[in-house]
Amino acid sequence: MAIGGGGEPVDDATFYRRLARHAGLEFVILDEEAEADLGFAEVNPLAARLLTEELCRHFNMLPIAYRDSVVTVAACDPFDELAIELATTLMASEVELVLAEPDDVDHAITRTFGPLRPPNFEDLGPAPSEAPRLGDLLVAGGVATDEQIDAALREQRRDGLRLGEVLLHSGAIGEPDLIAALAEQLQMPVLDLRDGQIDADVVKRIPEPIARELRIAPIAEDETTLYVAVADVLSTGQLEQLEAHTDSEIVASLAAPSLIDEILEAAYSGEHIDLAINDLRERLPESSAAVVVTPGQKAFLVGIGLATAIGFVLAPRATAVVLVGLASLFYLSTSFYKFRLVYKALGHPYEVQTSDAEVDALDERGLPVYSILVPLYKEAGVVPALVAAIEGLSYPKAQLDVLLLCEEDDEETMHAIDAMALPPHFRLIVVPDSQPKTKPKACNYGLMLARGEVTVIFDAEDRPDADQLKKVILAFSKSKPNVTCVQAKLNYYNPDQNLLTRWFTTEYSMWFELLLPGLDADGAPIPLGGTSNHFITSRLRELGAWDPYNVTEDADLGIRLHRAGYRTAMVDSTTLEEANSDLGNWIRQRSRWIKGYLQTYLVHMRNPPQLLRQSGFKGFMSFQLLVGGTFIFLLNPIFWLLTTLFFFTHAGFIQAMFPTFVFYLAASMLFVGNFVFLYLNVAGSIQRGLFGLAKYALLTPLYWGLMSVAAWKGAGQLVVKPFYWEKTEHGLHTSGHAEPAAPQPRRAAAPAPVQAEGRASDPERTPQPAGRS
Amino acid sequence: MATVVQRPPQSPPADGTPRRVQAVGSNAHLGHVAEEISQPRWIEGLLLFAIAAGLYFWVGYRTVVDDGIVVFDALDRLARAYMVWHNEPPKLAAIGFVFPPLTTMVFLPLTIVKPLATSLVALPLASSLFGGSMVVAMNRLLARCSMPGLQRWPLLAVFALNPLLVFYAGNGMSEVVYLALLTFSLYCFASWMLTAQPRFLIAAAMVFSALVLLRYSFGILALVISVLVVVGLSRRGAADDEAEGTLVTFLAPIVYAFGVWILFNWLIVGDPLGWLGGSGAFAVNAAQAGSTSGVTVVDVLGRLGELALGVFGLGIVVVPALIVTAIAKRDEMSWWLAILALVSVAVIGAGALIQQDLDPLAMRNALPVLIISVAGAGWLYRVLPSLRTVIWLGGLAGLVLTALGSWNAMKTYPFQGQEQAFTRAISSGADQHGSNSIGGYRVGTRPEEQMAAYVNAHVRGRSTILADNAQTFGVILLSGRPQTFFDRVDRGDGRFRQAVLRPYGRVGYMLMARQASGDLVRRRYPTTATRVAAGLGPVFETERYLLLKVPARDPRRTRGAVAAGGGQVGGQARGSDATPSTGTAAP
Repeated sequence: MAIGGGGEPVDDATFYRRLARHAGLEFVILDEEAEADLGFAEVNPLAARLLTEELCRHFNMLPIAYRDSVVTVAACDPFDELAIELATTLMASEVELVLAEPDDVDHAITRTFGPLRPPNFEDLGPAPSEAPRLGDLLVAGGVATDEQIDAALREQRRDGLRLGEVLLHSGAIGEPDLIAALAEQLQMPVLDLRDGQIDADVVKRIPEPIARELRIAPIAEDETTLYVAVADVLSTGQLEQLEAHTDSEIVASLAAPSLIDEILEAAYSGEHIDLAINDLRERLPESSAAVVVTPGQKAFLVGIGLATAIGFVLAPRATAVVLVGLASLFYLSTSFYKFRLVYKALGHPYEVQTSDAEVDALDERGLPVYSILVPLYKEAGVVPALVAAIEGLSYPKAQLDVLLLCEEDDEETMHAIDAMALPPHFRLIVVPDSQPKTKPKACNYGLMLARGEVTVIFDAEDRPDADQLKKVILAFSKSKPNVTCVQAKLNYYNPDQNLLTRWFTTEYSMWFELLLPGLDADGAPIPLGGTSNHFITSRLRELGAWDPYNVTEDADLGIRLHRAGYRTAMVDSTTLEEANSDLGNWIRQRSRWIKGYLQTYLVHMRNPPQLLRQSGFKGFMSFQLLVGGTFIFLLNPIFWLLTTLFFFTHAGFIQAMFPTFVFYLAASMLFVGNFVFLYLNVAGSIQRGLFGLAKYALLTPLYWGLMSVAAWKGAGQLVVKPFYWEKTEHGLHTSGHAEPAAPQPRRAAAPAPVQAEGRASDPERTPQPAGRS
Repeated sequence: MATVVQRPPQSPPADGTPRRVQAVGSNAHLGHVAEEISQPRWIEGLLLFAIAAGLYFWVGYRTVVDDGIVVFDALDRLARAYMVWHNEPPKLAAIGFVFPPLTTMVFLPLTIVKPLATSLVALPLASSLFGGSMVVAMNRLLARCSMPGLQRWPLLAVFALNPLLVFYAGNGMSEVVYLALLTFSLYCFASWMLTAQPRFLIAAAMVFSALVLLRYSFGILALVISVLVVVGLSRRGAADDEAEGTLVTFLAPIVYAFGVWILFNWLIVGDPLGWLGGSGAFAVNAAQAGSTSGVTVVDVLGRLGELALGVFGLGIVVVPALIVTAIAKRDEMSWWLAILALVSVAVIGAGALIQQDLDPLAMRNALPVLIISVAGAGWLYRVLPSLRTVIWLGGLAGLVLTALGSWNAMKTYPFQGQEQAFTRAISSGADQHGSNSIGGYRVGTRPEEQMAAYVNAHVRGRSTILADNAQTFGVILLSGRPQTFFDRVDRGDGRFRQAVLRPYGRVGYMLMARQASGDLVRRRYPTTATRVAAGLGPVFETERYLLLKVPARDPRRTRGAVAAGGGQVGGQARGSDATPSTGTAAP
């Protein structure tokens, strides 16, 4: 065929060569029989399927190669901008245009898709077997290798997830690659939302829960249409529902899920942070520690104080005897109760038992999405280890939803996270700067964005057992329906660093190996540990999640959960943390814990009859002896002083305070009770298999002295700075005291103060959310 | 069927390196469920306890309360426990600082109720409770040795009815307390061997800390066990820290118990180790025999032979069998039991040789060997499954013969504490008050009752009667009014000795044990002449006690002063004026 003009007729080949030269494009020959000719280009069959047959035939163009994210498209018309734009958009890649003869292109299309068939209206669209497969598209695009696709297919068979998700979460491909491939496969346009400013009002056209569930974000609207970015194709039913809800036609385009999340987060962050701070306080004010002491409690405490003062004036000896007697009785009861719990736990494994075989046999295809909340604050240095620990978890990555919760002013940590280019199951969540800047507030914020059916908190330095999540899933399946939280055991990976870490480890071994399982067996409320508590997400939300004003929000939540009729179970899986190795750091951490326990005690004792009714007698007593037992640390120094004074002076007034029965009670506590406490730590170490720590456990009376120092500090703070969050410095095990692992001095970097309800601020001391163990 | 956790294989790795515990610990060492062993149900234990305790109490009540076979050591402990609550002022120091403190403390719960103590019912009651516990612990031990109930119960019955055990399970002595604890500790050790669960070692350690405060010589057994633990763990290839941690776990409560006891002695008595050299004998009702001299190895071996036949006959067969089994099967627990039995015997013999006194060869001191022998028989039953019928029959026959041997020995063996009177009471049912029993004992508490009755009838006031409570405890207890007596507990030994030297104006009376050389009052005023010189006039006396009236002023300083009051002998008043002149003269 000749294309004529006014001059000498030229053949097609010549014409298109000239046209190419004119347009500055390369001219190619696609005819396989002209393989030896100059300009021959082989058509890559996989690349050729990056565009649909219809599109190729309509515009007479064909992708022929894919290299370095550039698709080479052979076309006949170098000036057809529409065709070029469509190709660019649909393939989400840069397009390099080359020119070929129309017949060449047409034949190449026929070779790729087969001869042109008459339209069959009963079989519109490509048959499934004929549709381009995602794996093929990715390989054709040079995004993934055959080996990666094979490995992903094997994993897909095991966990039942979609191929794209498997590839994405394994890091084989990136999110843009997957979206481009999906767009091609699903024949949907792709939106690039990276630089776009989205109107928050438009985003809110679809209610947030629906938007999060479907992972969609409205991005624009006109009079009749709502343009929506979607992470996946919507079903007809979903579309109809959305249209009914918005009263608009829905036009969906694909977009990167992470960008959709960012749009939603940006639109709702104000509401979320408000909820994170105020939800519990407004919904369940009686459960919030925002008010330290209620007016009723104030009246009661003042009454007790007055009665004691009057007693000391009128009958000092009798008053002292009564106080000492009550304290001794409290000591004895607490000791007996703890011993009972520990002794029970020594004999029986009360944790939910999950064997390795059961874990191995778990069908990964049925595993739920698991949200992991990791509050971070100025902990850029531990991020790589944290990521490694989470990546080491044996759980389908696509079912993981890891929320790295960073404070808005912590740019260093955010940069560290960004720099790691983490796989998409990690999400960096920026918690808006607000007060109180506490870990529970950050967790509450994260919880609102969590997608998992199950949610767990890990601290930045945590190293959970690899199979912990699966064990928890098994534990939930084996437990009663009202079990809402499964607490894993905590222990330390640096017990041998110094004497303090040895004591700390023996204490934790006793607490998590024996005491908490004993509470579990008793059906008593369990004050949860700071991390590795796994919740059913919906129930956690229902409970109001963590109290941002309580500095041991975990313990408080454990009690609240019990009062609501839910239960906590223990699982035989351990998360290793860093034991605090610095005395000052330890005192700060412990003073916060004790202050938090005092807060928790005050909150739940606002209405003792209600607590009794909700927790039952056993739970009520357990709460008094265990959480209320914190007061023992305050009493200890007083009794130690009295004992020492008596031994050296035989002072008569001290003798008078201990009449026979009180003396016997106190003496049995001094000589038997104290040893039993001490020996429980030995038992915990042995139970844990930490034989080398047994001898150090014998020195724990010195540790009790430190605890009392921390207790008085915490009690003082409860009065003057109730919500002050004593930051615990981490990373001391690796680099020593002088050079903390964290890249910045944390205490010095403390930002603005937290003072709820308009309290005066203290610029030097701010409750900080992360780094808590 | 309950499950138990089986110790994981203990053999060292092939390369010979020691087995290591994970650096950060785990509880993987706790093993896994590997076999099922029938354990007695709680109802079985409760029934056994009720039957055994009931029987022991009934026999104890008959022989102690009705027939008067009161062992005065037990009476002393009961009196001290009574004073802990009811003295004025009540003092924990009343438990004393020479003999092991728990021998008194076991009575503390019972002596809160006054009549239980003053009627002496507390003696058989306390013993029978521990006797029942001993039988239950033995039942569990045999069950742990895989012995089914139908074989266990006949064996238990013969064991529990051993007359020596029946006597001590009803007479208030501390023997049955430590026998119960020893049995339980053996159960714990066997369980630890089988399961490797730390709780059993922890329980055994706690029990042993109590044992050493019941009988100091258990400290030697604790040391032996410590060595056995370390050797056993080393043989199994345990790492050093495991051996060390295990040893710390076992020894910590024992060392603490001794430590607290030493501290108390140091703070209160001023002599931290005084208890090591003290004597625990308070046999006011026995003739005060001088110490034996010239005790030879031959003497001791001969007596040990008699003890073997009379107390632990079963052990004669079981201990050699344990040694053979230990060697043949390389069985650790067999070694343990054999060594513990041999050490227990050796401790008795060594005690006699060191003290040059045959009293340590008393029958009751050999009872731990009987317990270990029965445990040994049970263990052989477990580790030699092909010989179980033979072992069971042999054990049954051995226990029957042991019981018969004990019955005979109780009647004739010279070193005992009224066992002979017990056999007479059981045989004849006759009241033993006033009768004699081997060892120079005069059975019964009539003299104490008479003196107590006199005091209650005629003496008023507090701290009026100066008395060495270590010798006059029977009177103090049976009077039910320790506040009437000014004794060594009230203000301590120092004040008491001052009062003995200068009683005038301080007390109205003095009470002394007539034959007890250890009585501090009697030591100061040993003869009639010294008493007359001091102006002390007898007011009332019984077979064992003498009550003297103390004048208000020292007659040696007040010329012409005449000691008041007359005298009375044989439980009869010797004067009409029994009212003290300084009835309220407490210091």
